[in-house]
Amino acid sequence: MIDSDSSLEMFRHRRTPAKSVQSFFFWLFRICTYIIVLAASTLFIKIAYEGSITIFEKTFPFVNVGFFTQSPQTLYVFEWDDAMLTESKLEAVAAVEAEIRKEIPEKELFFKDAIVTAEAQKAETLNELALVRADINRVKKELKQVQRKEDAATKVIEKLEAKQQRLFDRNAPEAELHQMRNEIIAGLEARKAIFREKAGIEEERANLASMKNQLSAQLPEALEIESKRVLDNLQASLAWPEPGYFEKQNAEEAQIQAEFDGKELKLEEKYSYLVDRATAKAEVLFTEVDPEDPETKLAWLKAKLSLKKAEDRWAAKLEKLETERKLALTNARSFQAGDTEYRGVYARKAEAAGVNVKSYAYSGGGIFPAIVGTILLTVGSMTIALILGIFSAIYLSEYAKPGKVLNLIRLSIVNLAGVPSIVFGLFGFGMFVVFFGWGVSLAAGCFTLAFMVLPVIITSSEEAIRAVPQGFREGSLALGATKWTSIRTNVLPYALPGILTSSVLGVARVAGETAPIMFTAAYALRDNLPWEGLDKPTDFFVQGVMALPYHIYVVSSKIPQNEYTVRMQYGTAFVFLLIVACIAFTSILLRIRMRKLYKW
Amino acid sequence: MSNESISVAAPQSTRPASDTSAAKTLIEVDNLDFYYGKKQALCDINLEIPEKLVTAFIGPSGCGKSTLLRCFNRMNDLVDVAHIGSGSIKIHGVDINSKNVDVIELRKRVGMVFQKSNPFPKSIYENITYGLKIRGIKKKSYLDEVVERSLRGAALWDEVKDRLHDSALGMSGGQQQRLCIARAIAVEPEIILMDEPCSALDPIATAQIEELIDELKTDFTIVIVTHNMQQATRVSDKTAFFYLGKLIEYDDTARLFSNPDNKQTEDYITGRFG
Repeated sequence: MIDSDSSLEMFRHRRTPAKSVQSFFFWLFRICTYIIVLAASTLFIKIAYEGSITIFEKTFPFVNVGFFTQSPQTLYVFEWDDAMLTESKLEAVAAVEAEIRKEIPEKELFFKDAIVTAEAQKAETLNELALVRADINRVKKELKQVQRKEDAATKVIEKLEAKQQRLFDRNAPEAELHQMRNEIIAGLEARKAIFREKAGIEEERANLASMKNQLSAQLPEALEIESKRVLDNLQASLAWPEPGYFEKQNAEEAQIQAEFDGKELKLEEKYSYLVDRATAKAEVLFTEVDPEDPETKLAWLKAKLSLKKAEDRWAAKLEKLETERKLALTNARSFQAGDTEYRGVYARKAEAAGVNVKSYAYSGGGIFPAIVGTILLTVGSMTIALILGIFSAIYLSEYAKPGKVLNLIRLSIVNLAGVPSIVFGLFGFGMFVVFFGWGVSLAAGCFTLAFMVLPVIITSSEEAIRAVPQGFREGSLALGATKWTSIRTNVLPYALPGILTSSVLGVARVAGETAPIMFTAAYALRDNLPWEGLDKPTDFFVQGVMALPYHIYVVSSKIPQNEYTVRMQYGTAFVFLLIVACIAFTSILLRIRMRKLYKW
Repeated sequence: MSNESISVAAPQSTRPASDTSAAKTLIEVDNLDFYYGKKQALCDINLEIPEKLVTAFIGPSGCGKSTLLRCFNRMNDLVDVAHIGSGSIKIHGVDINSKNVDVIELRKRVGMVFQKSNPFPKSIYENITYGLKIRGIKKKSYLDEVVERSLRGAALWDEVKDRLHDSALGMSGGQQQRLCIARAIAVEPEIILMDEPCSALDPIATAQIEELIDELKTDFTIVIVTHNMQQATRVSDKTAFFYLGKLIEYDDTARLFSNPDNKQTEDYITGRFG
């Protein structure tokens, strides 16, 4: 029998260098992980909290709908007080109003004349267009005739050639052959002439088409739209300020002021009570303090600290209240308007009334065009990247011959994944915007982003394809499938979950990158939505779009900072996070479904 | 030992001995040399495999029997460095490595069952019909008929007829291997190559497969690679013994196991080496 104490001795814990190193690094990494997770969640909570202030509202429908449906606009804040609104100022406003009243009929008359002239022009243009159309039809007919002639000539030449062949076969006399050859050459010449004629007709046709385009551009619809806008603006500026506007706003402002004053008073009372109590406590301790007695000294220090803390907290709350008050007041007397609207409607009267106007760019309105642009860029670039990436991966893992060249290609792809995104941006700018001449456009942005994620997608798709057991390929090949059939039916479906995993990362990266789209696709501001104002369908791809990451960049570093732009920044960032989370979540769901379908 | 239970399960003794001499030659191997890169895997193989009989390849690991088997439907094309040095393989007198032979057509006629059962992760029905579907056959009634015929042929119909549309991966190992056989015979090949089909199976599943092979040989020519010499004696009509890439002896199974000509063969089958 072995003594139980000595056997316990056999298995007791012993320190070895390896064990110490392991436990040290284990704790180090554990702490690092916790710190990272903590920092990330703090950041996320901050963005979510600040962003939800912009997005949600206290009253029905509880969501700031305008933020999701409007374009970014300039925020105009009107400031006045009763002292500024003197009789003479109000008279000046009335004078401006009278001026506008006079202006309206003048403008109406002007536009009427212009439109009548334009209508006449239009009729003339339509006549010309009809002529051009007739010309085009004639040219078409001629073209058809020429085509027929050409076909006939071709047939004759073919016949002659066949005959020549036959003659050759029969070893015909040289003279006959010679004649035949001359005939064929003549036929060819005739055909060439017909070709020339055809090219001339084509050219004429192109000229006519461009003439047609020019003529249609002169139509007076644009003039009508413009006249309507100008007259509408004038009408609207008559309506502002409606009688009693300033008084009403002043009353509202006073109410808000009073509300906040009450709040402040309450806060002050509460905290002054706390501060008083803490001060009293500290004073008592201070008078009784015995420098020799560490207990009392400690208590005194503690009291002082809590006093300081209470004061700090109070200051912070007051500051927050002040910001809230400022925002509430702004809402009471502010407009969110584009510059044209502001100048057309409010500017003249505001100036006459002596109202002080401050403008904050990008701080009003919403981010709808940016959301649309981000979704378009993400969908477009992921489509391109997945198609190119999957086919490259199939080629690399299934078809390419292993060797030095393949290793080199793989190495380059892996290295490309580490290239900074701004470099891709510059590449896209040089390649698509300048060299291909697409300009700052959706297509250029999509291709640049696609090239940026392509290395990641190729690498991981290749891994996913390799992970499919060799037995599936052999099994289907042994049943008489071609290589491509076997890949299509027995490799790709099983690799798709893995490919989708990598595309989740790709989507998050594509949606979030600013640098690649800065030079290639993003506009700081574009009022038109991508499907508006297109001359022809292909213009959809060669237009710039707004994008959320670029919008965040613009509002947080390209314009003066103030409390109004901060709202926009946090709102945009929060919406952006939500969108990326949604896309990623969709991909994950898709992957889970695929996994269930094809599991081995 | 498991051998006894197998011999009880497989009615080898009751099997009528096939007349090996009368059978027509289907596969002819002439002076075949085969290389993996610079390493020679097969050297100077001469072999004639008769029609509608079972031929077994035995030999120690790495002796080239699987390589030769994979030559018959050119599965070695998948290995980049593999190539034939000299000699030829003829099926129906046609050299299968010549440029005029379409490897896809060859593989339709020469089916294969692998060592590790590899059913596709689809339903049983889809597994069987895969070979037909890639050939563009879509008629439902015909596919149903083929599924039933092949599963009956592989003695699997009664076990799976109620769950044809369940995943093939839910079957046991022996059933999976028989499914692979059913999948191979669904496309009606002439020859079925089996690369150690029972190496991962328990004795009962092995016995079922052996019984199946016995039934299949009325319709198909079967070439089987095996490590198990009892199995070779039970299922095969002719046996080839390979050693270090060379064909040492090729004869009727009964003769090779009872009265081998070669000393090496005798040593191997009596277990003195390998």
